[in-house]
Formats: sequence, C-alpha cells, structure tokens
Amino acid sequence: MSTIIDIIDLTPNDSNKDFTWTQEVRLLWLLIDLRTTATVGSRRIVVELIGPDGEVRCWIPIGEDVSPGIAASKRCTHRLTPGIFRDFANPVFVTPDTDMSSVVPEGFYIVPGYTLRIRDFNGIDVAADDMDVTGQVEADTAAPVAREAKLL
Amino acid sequence: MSLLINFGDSIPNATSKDYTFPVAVRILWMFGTITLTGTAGSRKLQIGVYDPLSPTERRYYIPIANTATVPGTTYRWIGFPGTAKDSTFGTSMGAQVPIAYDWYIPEGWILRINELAAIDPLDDLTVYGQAKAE
Repeated sequence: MSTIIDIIDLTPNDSNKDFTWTQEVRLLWLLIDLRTTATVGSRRIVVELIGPDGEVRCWIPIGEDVSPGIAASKRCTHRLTPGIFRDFANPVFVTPDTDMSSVVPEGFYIVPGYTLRIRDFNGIDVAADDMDVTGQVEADTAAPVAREAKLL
Repeated sequence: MSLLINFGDSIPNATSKDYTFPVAVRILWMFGTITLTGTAGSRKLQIGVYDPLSPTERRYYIPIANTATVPGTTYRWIGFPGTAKDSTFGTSMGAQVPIAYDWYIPEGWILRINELAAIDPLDDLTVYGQAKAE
C-alpha cells in the first residue's frame, strides 16, 4: 500500500525551493511555474538531489541543456514526469505564457536526510522571480511482508 | 521486497570509478561530474559493465555525450531510462544519457564509469546513483 503526498509551494519571490520528507518517497511528477522579473539574465531551472553532506547527488536540467534559458519578463511552465517526451526548449521560450515537458527518472527516490531542490541554476534574481512548485511523491507504507506479496 | 541502494562517491583525483554490488541490482539512474585540471586534452566518458572474470573487457557500455575539453571546467551528466541522448554538453556543461529500463548488474559484476582517453589522472570524477535490489 502506498500513500500519495502532495507538493505545494506557492511562495512568491523565490526561485530556489527545497523539499524534504521524513520517510522514503518516490517522485511521481512536478509542475514548475516560473515568472521572471524584468532583470536581464538567462534563467535555467534544474532539479537536484542534495545529500546529507550538502553535495549534489543528482542534477536534472529542464529540457535540453543546449536550449536557451528563460529571459526576463517571461512566464514558463515546466512539466516533469517519467516517460514523457523531452521538449526542445527553443520554440516555447520565445513568447510568454508557454510551457514545456521534460523527463525525470521513474525510479527517483528521496530518502530521509536528502533534499529535493528546484532552482535557477544561473541564480538570476532568485529573491524576486516567482516560482510555484506543485507535484506528488509516493511513500510506500506497507510492511515488508506485504511488499513481497505485491511482487507476486 | 526491494531494497534501495544509494551508491557513489566524490573522492578526488580519479578518472575511473568501479562499483560492485553484493546482489544483482537494477540501475535506476546515475549522475556524475568531471572537473578537468589545466591539462589540455579531450576527455571521453563512458558507463561500462565488466565481468569480474574478465575485468578489462566491457560487456556493455554507454558513451556520455561527446568530449569534455575545456581545462578547469566541470561537466555533468545524468543517465536514466526514458530520456533522450545528448550528443554534446550544453550551456550548463550538462548532458543526458538514456539507459535501459530494466538494466541489471549481476552480483559481483563491475559498474565502471571512466575516462577513456586517459588525459590526466588528477581530474576529479564524481559519481552518484540509485539502484534497486529485489
């Protein structure tokens, strides 16, 4: 048996968000809605897994890393889920109010002590850009015996 | 019952990292970085699997993008099932690498991430990942 846990962080003026859990969870999907200020600079959103020692244990860029970043005064929505086609960012970043899809591992676990971090890799106007993050993780709450049975 | 295994390390001054598992595991994803020294030369990274009975002969391998060439630069890559293969490192010096959905490393076999061109053993290679044993 598993429990679905929602991720909801709509705090404005922040493009660097951390999420932690007290039990092992598996990432199901994320929706990242970024509204940039007029500050000139190329934003590039990444999803990271940070270890207990603060070291980056995983780094997943949105779209293709060769794509141009997100410019000033834009709104871009990123949808991340396993198994989806990875968009090339170039066409959707030309105009505001666009979105793109990107792919994350199907088996991506965050264990206690680790942090899921979503941030602008280039750190442009981090305390003024608005980034909303919603999503879901799954926690397996079954006892070991039940988990064995599930495999049959 | 399945067991999640976090593996990897960031021990510096290494361009080849081997990981073996006490039981067969399925690789979920792998992430790595290489920070080049000032030595010029094009580094070529690969993910390889080796039979312990023949530890220098790769049974399977996946190349990582093209070459990493700019001295002093950190390149990063992320490999997992379902993503597309990047032929070059991008703006953030990152590249994605597709791996098999059901990719099992047999018990005792070697998962090796290394730099094939052997430019400078003082490069810093970091590898982290998650695997499942069932």
